[in-house]
Amino acid sequence: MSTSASEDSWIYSTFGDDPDLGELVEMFVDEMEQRIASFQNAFEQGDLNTLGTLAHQLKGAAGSYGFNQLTPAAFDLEQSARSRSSAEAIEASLDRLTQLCQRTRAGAPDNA
Amino acid sequence: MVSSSSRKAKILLIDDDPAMVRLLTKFVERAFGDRTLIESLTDPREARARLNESVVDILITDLEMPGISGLELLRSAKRRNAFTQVLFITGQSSQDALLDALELGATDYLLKPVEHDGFLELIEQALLRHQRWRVALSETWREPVANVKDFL
Repeated sequence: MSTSASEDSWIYSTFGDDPDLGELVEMFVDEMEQRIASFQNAFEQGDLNTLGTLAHQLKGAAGSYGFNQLTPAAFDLEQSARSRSSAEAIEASLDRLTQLCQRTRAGAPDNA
Repeated sequence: MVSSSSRKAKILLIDDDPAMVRLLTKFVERAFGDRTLIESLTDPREARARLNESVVDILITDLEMPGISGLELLRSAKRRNAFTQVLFITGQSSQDALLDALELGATDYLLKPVEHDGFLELIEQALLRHQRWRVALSETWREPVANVKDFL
């Protein structure tokens, strides 16, 4: 987790306070570190097909879970990986997405 | 007719992302739990095997998955049961494949990220359409029996 992010910069799901869905949002957030590790591993292995697939998955899942801020960054990484952009460009996209992922939180701003 | 129309609709939901499967399954169970039985899978190969061995009323599937695409699942479902309603959930990058899906008999589609109300509306429409097919086929099947009874 990033140590520089303040509470003001946390990203919450639009339905994080839904009593029925809160547990699912929490699981989604808990699994974010695992997703980031998978991204990083695929990038380090030079496996751009897997990186593109993982970014594609997160692009669809993040917005569906109410974390709409992540969608454009995941799309950017997916496109970078699938179009075989330079390693620097892909890494920059990956860093942007990783930072956003690390700011996700379960719950809502007033009850988290 | 009552017994055929009151049977719970069987839904098979497939997405290779477990988080998506959990969320969409919850949406369906919460809104339609009294009318549907849902089975959810993340492995499209397992889904194809399931479709080959049993009938589902509504198939909800991601279009773009590793190994087996949603189009293959559509073909399997339609081979088994021509009036299975097939709904695709897909990202923007798969829109070309959507044209193939519609030509092969897909009922409808929804773009990811999935919007809750739009998703439920799609399921509701599929349930209504499935129900109409069931009633129509049930009545067609029963008609000769009714005619026989007229002569009794």
